[in-house]
Amino acid sequence: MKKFLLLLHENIEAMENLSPKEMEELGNAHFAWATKLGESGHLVSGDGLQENGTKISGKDCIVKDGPYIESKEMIGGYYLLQANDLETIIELAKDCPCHLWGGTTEIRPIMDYEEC
Amino acid sequence: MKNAKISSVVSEVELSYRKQYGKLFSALLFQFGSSHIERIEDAIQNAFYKSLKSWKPNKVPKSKENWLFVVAKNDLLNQIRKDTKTVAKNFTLETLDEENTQEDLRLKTLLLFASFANISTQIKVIFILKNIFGLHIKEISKSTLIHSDAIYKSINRAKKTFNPNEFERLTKQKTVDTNCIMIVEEILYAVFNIGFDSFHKKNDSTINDDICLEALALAKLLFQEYKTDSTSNLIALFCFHIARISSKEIDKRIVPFHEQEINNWNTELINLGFQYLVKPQKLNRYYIEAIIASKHMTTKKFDLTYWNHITELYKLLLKITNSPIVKINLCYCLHQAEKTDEALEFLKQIENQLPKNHLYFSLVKADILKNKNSIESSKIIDRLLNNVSQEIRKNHIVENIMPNL
Repeated sequence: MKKFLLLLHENIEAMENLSPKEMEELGNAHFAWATKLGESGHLVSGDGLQENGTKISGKDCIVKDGPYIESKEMIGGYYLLQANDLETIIELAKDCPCHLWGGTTEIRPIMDYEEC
Repeated sequence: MKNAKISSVVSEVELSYRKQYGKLFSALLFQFGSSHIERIEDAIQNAFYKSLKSWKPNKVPKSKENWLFVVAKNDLLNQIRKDTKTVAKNFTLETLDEENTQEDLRLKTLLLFASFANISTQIKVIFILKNIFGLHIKEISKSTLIHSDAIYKSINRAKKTFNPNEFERLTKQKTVDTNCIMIVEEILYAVFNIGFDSFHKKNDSTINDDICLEALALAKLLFQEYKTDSTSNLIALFCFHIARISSKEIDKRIVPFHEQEINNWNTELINLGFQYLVKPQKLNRYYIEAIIASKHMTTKKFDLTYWNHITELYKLLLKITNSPIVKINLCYCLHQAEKTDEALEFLKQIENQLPKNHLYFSLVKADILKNKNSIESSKIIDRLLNNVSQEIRKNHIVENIMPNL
């Protein structure tokens, strides 16, 4: 099976304005979705990401602390998924709760040594 | 779904973020004081957001409530440290392994806010809807039809009024006066009504049952503590209304009272309502309203004798309250009791007290006028249709009201 990284680009403004009830419902939706993926054997792992982080760039290793909010979206988490083909992952990703509040998901196939 | 929720009202176990918001807010408020209200709000929001990111099917804290409390408290401490460059006295960051059994301080917070002078009940209701009932500004706006800006202003005004010195003085008070209990009852009654007749467009429902159930739970706590007749009757009233929630709407359609399936009403709650219904030493509005609700739910016949009796009860109620909604109810009963002219006289008196095209007023007026002046009756409904934003209410008017005009 091939592996795919699903990046969750969250809509920051929408997330900041969620009510407690909406937050609870979103959490439950992620929970149910991850459970379903686990049961079907498509889930390898997944985690939420903290807003702050550190960037190190260039030969001089310039260290810059986050958060890096350059657009209205921010990567808030990821799922590492597996399937026989990209089409399956696209269908699965359409149901990702990230979309419920204006977020975007990005699928990045993991480079496979055999295919290079 | 709603029936299951209502059945669990007596012993709630599931964690609700709305309820949790109120519990966390109260616990942190009493630990850190009213000068940190905004930071407390942010800390709770951050804790919820962090739970969203870190709880997974194979990784859920043993006690979600404890986890949220520790994370919110640590977030608050970090905010205080960052903003004031000082460490909050006597507080240290806690680890998630520590057990913190938090007392439910929501009632204490309600009583405290109720005792603040120089602030209107409406502002208190808005502040409490947000911080005790965990409603977002946009939800309060949609439920109450008050503009978001006005709600922000009310909340900010409330925060300024709850100054730290006054807060400290009030927390040291050992006794609670009757007036304060009455204000809490009034707040819970207002909050309940917002839940029972919600204008939330997105949910496409006229009921927000979470709010109704929480208002009932807090009223029960108030009764346990102070055992007043008025609180007991308020609980009775809530029980009679909540018993009908699951029949009030079916498949996203409003079911008129007389078409509701009586067998689906929750008998456990109706019985509980009768247990709490007590003749008070001094007449109060909750007692009369609970009596009316109970009669409505148990009468065998809605005949002239019945409506005359209910009319008398509403007239009695008007000696205690000046509520325009009670007056509209009276108009409806007078009309049913074939006293239409008297009903129209009353309607004239209250028209100016209500916003233009008030939903309930318009529906009752159109109903009363349908035989006397059907053209005017139709015009009222047409105007109403142009002003109602909720699809469920529009459908109800088109399907149930218009054909009868």
